[in-house]
Amino acid sequence: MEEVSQLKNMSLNEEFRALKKGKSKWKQIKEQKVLIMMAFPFVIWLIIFRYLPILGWTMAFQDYKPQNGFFEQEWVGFDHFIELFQDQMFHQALRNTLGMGFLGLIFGFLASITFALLINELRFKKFKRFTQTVSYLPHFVSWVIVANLVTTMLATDGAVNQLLVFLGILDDPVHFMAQPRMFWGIVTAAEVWKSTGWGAIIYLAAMAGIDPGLYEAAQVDGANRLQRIIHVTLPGIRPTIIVLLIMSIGNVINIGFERQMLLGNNIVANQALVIERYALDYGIGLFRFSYGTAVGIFRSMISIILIFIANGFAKKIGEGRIM
Amino acid sequence: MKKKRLLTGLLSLGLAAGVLVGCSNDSQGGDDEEVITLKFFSADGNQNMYFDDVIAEEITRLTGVNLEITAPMAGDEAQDVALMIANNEFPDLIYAKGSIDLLVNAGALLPLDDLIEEKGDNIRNLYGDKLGRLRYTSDDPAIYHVGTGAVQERILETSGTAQIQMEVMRELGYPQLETLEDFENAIRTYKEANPTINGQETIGLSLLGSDWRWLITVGNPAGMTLGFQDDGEWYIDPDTGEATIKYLLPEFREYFRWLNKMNAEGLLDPESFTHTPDTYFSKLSSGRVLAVMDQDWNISQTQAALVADGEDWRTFMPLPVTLEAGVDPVITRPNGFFGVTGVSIAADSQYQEEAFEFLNWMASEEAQILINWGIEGVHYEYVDGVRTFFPEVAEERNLNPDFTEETGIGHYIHPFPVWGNAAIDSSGNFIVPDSPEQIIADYNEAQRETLAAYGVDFFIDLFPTFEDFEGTSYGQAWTIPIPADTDLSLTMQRVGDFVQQGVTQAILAAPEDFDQAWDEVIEGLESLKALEANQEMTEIVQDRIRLWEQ
Amino acid sequence: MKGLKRITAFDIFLVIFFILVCIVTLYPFLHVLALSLNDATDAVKGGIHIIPREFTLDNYRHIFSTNTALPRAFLNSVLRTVIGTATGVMSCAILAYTLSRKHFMFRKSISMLLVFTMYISGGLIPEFLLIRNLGLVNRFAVYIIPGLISAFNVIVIRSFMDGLPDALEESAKMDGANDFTIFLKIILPLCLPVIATVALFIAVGQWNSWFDTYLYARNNESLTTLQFELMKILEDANITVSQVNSQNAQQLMNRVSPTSVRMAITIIATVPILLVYPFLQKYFVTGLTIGAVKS
Repeated sequence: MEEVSQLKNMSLNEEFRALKKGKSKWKQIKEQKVLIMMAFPFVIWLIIFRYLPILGWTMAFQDYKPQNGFFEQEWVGFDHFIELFQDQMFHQALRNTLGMGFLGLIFGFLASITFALLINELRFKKFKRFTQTVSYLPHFVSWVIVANLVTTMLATDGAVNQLLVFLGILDDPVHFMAQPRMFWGIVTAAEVWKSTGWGAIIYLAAMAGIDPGLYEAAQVDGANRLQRIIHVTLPGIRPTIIVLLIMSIGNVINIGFERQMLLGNNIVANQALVIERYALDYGIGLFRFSYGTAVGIFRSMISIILIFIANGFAKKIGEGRIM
Repeated sequence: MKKKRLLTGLLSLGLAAGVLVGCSNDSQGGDDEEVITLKFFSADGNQNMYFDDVIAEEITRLTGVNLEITAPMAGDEAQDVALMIANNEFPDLIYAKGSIDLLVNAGALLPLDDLIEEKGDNIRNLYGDKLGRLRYTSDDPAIYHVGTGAVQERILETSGTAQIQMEVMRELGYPQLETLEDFENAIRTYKEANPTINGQETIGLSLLGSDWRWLITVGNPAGMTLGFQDDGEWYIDPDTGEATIKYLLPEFREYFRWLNKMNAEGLLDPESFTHTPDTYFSKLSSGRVLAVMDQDWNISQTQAALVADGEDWRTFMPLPVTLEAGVDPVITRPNGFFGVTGVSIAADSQYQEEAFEFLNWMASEEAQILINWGIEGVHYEYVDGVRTFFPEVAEERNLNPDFTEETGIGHYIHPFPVWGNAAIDSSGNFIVPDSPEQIIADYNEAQRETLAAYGVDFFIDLFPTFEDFEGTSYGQAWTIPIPADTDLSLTMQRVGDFVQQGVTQAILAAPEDFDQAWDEVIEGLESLKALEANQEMTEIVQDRIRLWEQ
Repeated sequence: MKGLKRITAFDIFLVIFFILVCIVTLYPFLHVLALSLNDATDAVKGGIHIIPREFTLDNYRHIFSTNTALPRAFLNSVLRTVIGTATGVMSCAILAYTLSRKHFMFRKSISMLLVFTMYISGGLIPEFLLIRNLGLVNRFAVYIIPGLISAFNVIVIRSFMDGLPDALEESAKMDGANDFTIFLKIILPLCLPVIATVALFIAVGQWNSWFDTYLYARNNESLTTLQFELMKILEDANITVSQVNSQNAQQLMNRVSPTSVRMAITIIATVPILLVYPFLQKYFVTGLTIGAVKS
């Protein structure tokens, strides 16, 4: 049955695949030579610019001193890693990083996708364009300014407290920036505000690739607006969503420290410490290059593990994998 | 492996190219072929230092040296120095500050002992018997830099003390405030009488504890009001050189108990530890903050804003208050020349002799006058033997914030050798333009009246005079660099992070919980190996004392 | 979806919603603009929203007068943005195309190779040494070559290409076209929305980068970039505790510019790149791709 349908629907690709089982590698290369020539220069580029510096990872297994050449360094094996895993502060940083990373991921995705969907439904062309342009402005405003705005708004005499007291939701103003439990939420909210507009751009681009005929067909079938969104638009951008999701999952551990540093203070410091800050303060900042490199390697390992999990999951549900 | 050979080949090529580029002769003025260009890395520079103003030209004219200045971004020289070493390429002149030990370990710096002997007449004269303070350590007593920081200093202005609005003092009849309790009462009295200022709620004492300035407004005032000098995070026994992390001392517990009390009574700004610096500044500029414990340079903009608004009386005056009566605040102790850092010369520089001659020249009278005052006839003249700026120049200097960068006057003092503001040159004039007369002329209305009310000419007269103090045998602890990549540096980083959090918690706790919170700080410190750190620091300090005795 | 249809409640809701969105996203930007046009000493007092209280152009004047390298820097930034975007987009697109061909024998291996680069990095010192050894220091090429391929962009483009029907390639191959021609003449034109997006990302990245100037072209006036020049004035954001002690704190403070100058810098740095997106918006029109496919 399967073979029959295969033979019936044989496309060029499948012909190639069926035939190639008998061919030698060289013949294959000859056939695909254009593709190979197209890809080859960039693969070389990748090796030179991305993989060659990995040799620097050896620093993590040494007691690196900049003045010694490569062969004169003292080797310490996994000592730095052991020290890393025994450090309370590192575990704290790891928790915070993953926590804020995933929160940001989830809410960021929900916000960007919803935002893109809503903009797509907006009918007044000029207003639509204007909104699109304006909505990504926060992406360009630096975190220094954003942190200032957020802190001012959440101050005990700031706009948020004033509003909440006025509406009777609160009796007394709440000192938001001094509540450790709220820190993650504040960071996530600021993050969402700052990057939703920008993040929506790529979904809008994907939506542009959806066949308008599908919308027409759906309308003819009697689907209302909401149904059209759910059954045409969303599936249309599903591959994009999944691909981006996978890549972002891998990056969860790489969230930078700028926003936490600017929004944080000594009261919430325990919730604000992230791995990159830890690496800076306790690694390079103290001239402990080997230690800093070890932290970097750890981060890369985690990212790769996360990526494999996410990719494998995508394979299972059938689409959008990246490897 | 082929790649390794290729890399080595490329590396050599790259180095060769680098050396060629580094030694190229840039002709600045164009006509003088003898001008050499020295590359100068300054850890305290900013990215905007181009050696191209009037003073720079004069320096080049007099020395034949042109400087190409580089600096790290945002004061973080660690990466830059590491890259220098990894690259094995060094600028001719290096002001490495805290990274100097990295460079010494890498063998990158030229020991200057011989050059100082042979050609360093100005440097020898400048430092006199304090030349020994330039030495590196007991193990390696060579001199690796020519020092920076004032040698002869008189302290004319205060900074870093408790400060209070002059309006408060006026309303209370210009009382004598000696202790923190007096300080507290003054704030409380005024605040109760004036719950709002200019329509906004009055704040008693506000601190900036939300970023690194915690050290300035929370950490340092503690020591000062206890009668200790500013030794950074340490208390050093003046006789034995024994070091202790200051928070371990019982006196500090009492200081922070007082701060805790201030908080409990609502006299401390509840947002001290959360508001952003900009918010803090805007609060100060609005005139509603009665007191601070801050450095003048941190709040200068806010004071300027108040004066511009006509609110002279709401600017601050310093107070010599201490925790207990009878203790003297030690901000006025002159510790003389620290000798810890200065400009070094690269061991592989092609211009070692010229570089040293240049540095030596910078310590000469001619140079010091030039970089402080400018060019005679252009910027200043002698009026009855007194060196004075031309009126236009003086005005520019006071009003234009970019004066230093534009003219170059005052731009090249740090990090080269500095005579200091108490030094007098061969014409009998002070080497620096900041004279007492200038300070008096700069006072605003309110300051003048207040000074008159207290019967003094300068605010510093309210403090014990510096002649009462002797310098310590080791300078100040914060100037002693902690060697990189040691247990001590790691511990101190942890201690720093921990203390800021723990002490903040203690301040904000309920009064009855204070002692317990403070106990937790002590326990935390001990679990972070504070006692070992004390020992290590003690050794370093004692080594310094030994070095200086030579 | 063409022609006049009656306006539903949903449409009205959308309009109101997006008016709010515009306010919320526009406010900080206008706030920055207002501060930049406000007198520096007055700005310290706070309380300025979107209208300057004491209007002045001094902040901008100050920046342009103290920094004579700005015109050159601006030119360099524009150059690197244009060249870097063109080369980057092409490179990513070509690689993406090869990886979207399901029969490509190296598809899986190169994909993996590519993906890993997103999460691994050798660290600052090794990367610096590499650039140095390749002779790219103090050359314009250092702005273009090391940043040529971004795995993220390649994957995004490839994902889009995956969605195009196979029939396109088949019919072209039957006409005797080779892969490169198919890529250039058929596939690429159909990818305009995603190409525009990636172009935007790369352009913004090029425009905003200053760290590479800092590392590799620091004292070179002919290679300086706008962001780097502006960063020099803006240096206070990342001071860490370990660097602070009583003496150098004062020096650090002396380098901190007043708020309003920092705001002016933000405006100068971002306005040019903001003007790029509106030009690219026309590529985001639905149906551009599919209509072409059908024909």
